[in-house]
Amino acid sequence: MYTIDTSSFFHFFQTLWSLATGAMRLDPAAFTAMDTSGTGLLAATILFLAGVSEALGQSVVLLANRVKPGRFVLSLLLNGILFIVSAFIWGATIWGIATLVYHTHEPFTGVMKSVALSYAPLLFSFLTLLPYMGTFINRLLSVWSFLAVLVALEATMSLNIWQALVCAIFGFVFLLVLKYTLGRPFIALEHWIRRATAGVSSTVEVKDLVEKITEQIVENPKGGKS
Amino acid sequence: MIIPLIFQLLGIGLIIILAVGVLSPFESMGWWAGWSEESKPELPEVEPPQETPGNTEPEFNHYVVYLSGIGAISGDFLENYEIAFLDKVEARVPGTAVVRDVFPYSMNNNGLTGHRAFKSLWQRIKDLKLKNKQMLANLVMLRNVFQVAVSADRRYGPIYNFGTCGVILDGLRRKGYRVGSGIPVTLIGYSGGGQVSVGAATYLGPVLKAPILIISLGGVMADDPGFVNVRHLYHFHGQKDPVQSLGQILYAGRWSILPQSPWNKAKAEGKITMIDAGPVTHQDPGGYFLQSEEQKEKGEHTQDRLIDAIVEIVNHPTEVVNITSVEQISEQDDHKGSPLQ
Repeated sequence: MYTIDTSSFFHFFQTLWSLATGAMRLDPAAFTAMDTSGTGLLAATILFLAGVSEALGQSVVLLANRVKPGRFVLSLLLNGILFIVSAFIWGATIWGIATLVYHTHEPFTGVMKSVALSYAPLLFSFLTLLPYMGTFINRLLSVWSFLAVLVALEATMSLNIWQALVCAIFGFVFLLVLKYTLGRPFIALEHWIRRATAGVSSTVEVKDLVEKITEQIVENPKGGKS
Repeated sequence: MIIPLIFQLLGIGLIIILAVGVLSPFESMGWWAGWSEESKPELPEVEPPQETPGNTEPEFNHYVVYLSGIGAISGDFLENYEIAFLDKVEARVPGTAVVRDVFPYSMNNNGLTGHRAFKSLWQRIKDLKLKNKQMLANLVMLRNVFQVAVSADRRYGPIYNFGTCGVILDGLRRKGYRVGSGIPVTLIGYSGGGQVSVGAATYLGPVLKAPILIISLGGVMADDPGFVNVRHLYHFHGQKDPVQSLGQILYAGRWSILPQSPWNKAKAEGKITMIDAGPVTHQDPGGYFLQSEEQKEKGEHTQDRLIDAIVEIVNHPTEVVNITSVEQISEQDDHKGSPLQ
């Protein structure tokens, strides 16, 4: 049983932690608890923190591009906001597919808030920083979060697990198609916002670093700034 | 009562390990990003060839750089048995300079007792270590083992290894090495120093344009892309050393099922020689450097044979020395044979 109490800062985070741990345990009650009033900010906070944590886990991308400390923090916060936007789009897609294919009647906001809670495992995305095992942990958290989405859809939309799986997968595929077709200008805008926030004109991919540094060594035998 | 306490302590231990691990990439990444005020990453300078005929003869025709294991605190602090080992090797390799003041687990050769956060903690641990109180020295190992993992990680390695390449180059220059001279360089890496050696070879290759050899003493190595620039790797593995085999277990690129990995390609090209170091453990006494009391009683001089093998390799930097076991050296001495291929 989950009590939604957001009356103070302390109670807000106590409720958030209780719901997040419930979601991580894949407890359906945690997701149905989101389908009440006053949980919108909780959902947004989970998404925001998961986004910040994810950006922290991937901070090698920012640091490889020599982002300044202030810009680094701004980039983390930006990722939190972009996480909210992307979760909103995915939630809307899933809700749309469920409504069209399975004729469900649940209101969008309830479904959206449950989907947001399913991002709770990604609160630990900062562990991706760990050398050697970080990448594996990242994949594990993604699978965990995906399973949480299925439980969320099962609990809030009265779908069975296979129907939930169809909605989640088709939602994902639809977004992928959108990303490479109509969504191109939005993706370009997102990249521009990320670069502007980080304060770098172009981004170096981590996998290309060795090649780039080696090229610089060969081309600049006199040394100097790398 | 006692079981919950044990679990609590284990939990705290796990949190400390995770915290050290999560923070471990930030030292080199922050250095690369220019967050550290002390020094910025710079491309190494390659000196043009000397034109004065009188100065063309170099003082040394071979350079050896020693990279210590994960217990290292700073470049200017080696264990007594490491110093004794290097002294013995140096005395038998005429014309070879031995660089022994490189700290392989930080950028800029900044030892743990140098200018950094928690300097006083590391200094305290060093003082305790000097009094033979090793308990807290495990913190140094924990910190450094994650730096080895950073070097081996494909995300952080390109930056970390660029830093250690610079540290090694500085060490070489302190001994008079001229970048661009083509003089061979041998890196002796003990334990984690093995991985750092291979990682640094990624950039040492294009910078030095000279033969790079690696002698690994129980080195824990990944399938690092740096192998492409290594002329030859000699990996000494102790019969009682399970730690050195961690690299083979933990990194899939060292498994035989991935023949295209840098390690397996180097192996297929005959660039890796595995050498049985005899009945030695990973840590001393009884390890690669210092004879244990038990070994003394048994009359085993494995560490001396190891030095013989290393001297043989160092004295032939441009050839492949064919040794498969340190015991082979003494047998060959008896029969006056040559281990050269």
